[in-house]
Amino acid sequence: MQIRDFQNQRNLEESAGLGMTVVIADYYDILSFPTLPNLETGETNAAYVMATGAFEMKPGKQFHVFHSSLEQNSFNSKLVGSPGAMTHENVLTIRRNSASPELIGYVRSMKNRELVVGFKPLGESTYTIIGWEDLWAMVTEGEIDIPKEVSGEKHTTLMIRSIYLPPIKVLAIPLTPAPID
Amino acid sequence: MAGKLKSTTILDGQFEVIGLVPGPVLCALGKVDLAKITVSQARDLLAINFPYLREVVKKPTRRKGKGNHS
Repeated sequence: MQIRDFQNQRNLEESAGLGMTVVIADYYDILSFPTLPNLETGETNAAYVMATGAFEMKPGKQFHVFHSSLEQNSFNSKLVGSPGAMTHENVLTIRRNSASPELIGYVRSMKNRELVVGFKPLGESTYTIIGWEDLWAMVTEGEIDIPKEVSGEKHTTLMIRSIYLPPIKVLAIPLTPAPID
Repeated sequence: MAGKLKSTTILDGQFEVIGLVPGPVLCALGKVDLAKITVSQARDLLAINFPYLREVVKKPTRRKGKGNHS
């Protein structure tokens, strides 16, 4: 991996915010992952985070959709650790302004589960993945909040964290299972 | 890849969906339903290196009784 130029790259579609659709798979439902970038042969900065190939799901297993509320999802990736041993810590926050039984049950089904999660920053063409082979993501915080004021922000929120790998980019995420033989 | 991926032909056998039941996939072109795409959309997907689709290359059929004549 080499230091390369980063020159002014104009993107007229640049924007903060994430798309409302987040996709989540159980780590153990994935048979194999796309290929991580080759850090020796990558010829651009983007090549250091762009995976190639496809997710191979187990027969009958798939990524599932979570629809958040508008402008409620956020993502943060930090370099953490001491200089010389720094690495990546990624946290995706997903939020829906509701506390329905569907959501409470969703939170219950997510806790303590090994996950692989995909989402799309607005203005980008690729999807970001957190959680990878041997490095699954997990819910680290969850909250179901019903405020006392009617003007308060009722919400169900999950924070999902992954470590070590930077946010990895993929071209596509399937929403159907692998065929059953 | 863990093994040979099962594929399903679509669009009258012109394309194969690889490793998935044909259905929705999220990609740079948005949410694309591989069970409903057109040939034109399939070619657009191939142009962005979409990993779950490939074009079926049909082998030319030999005509019987017409071998090489010198």
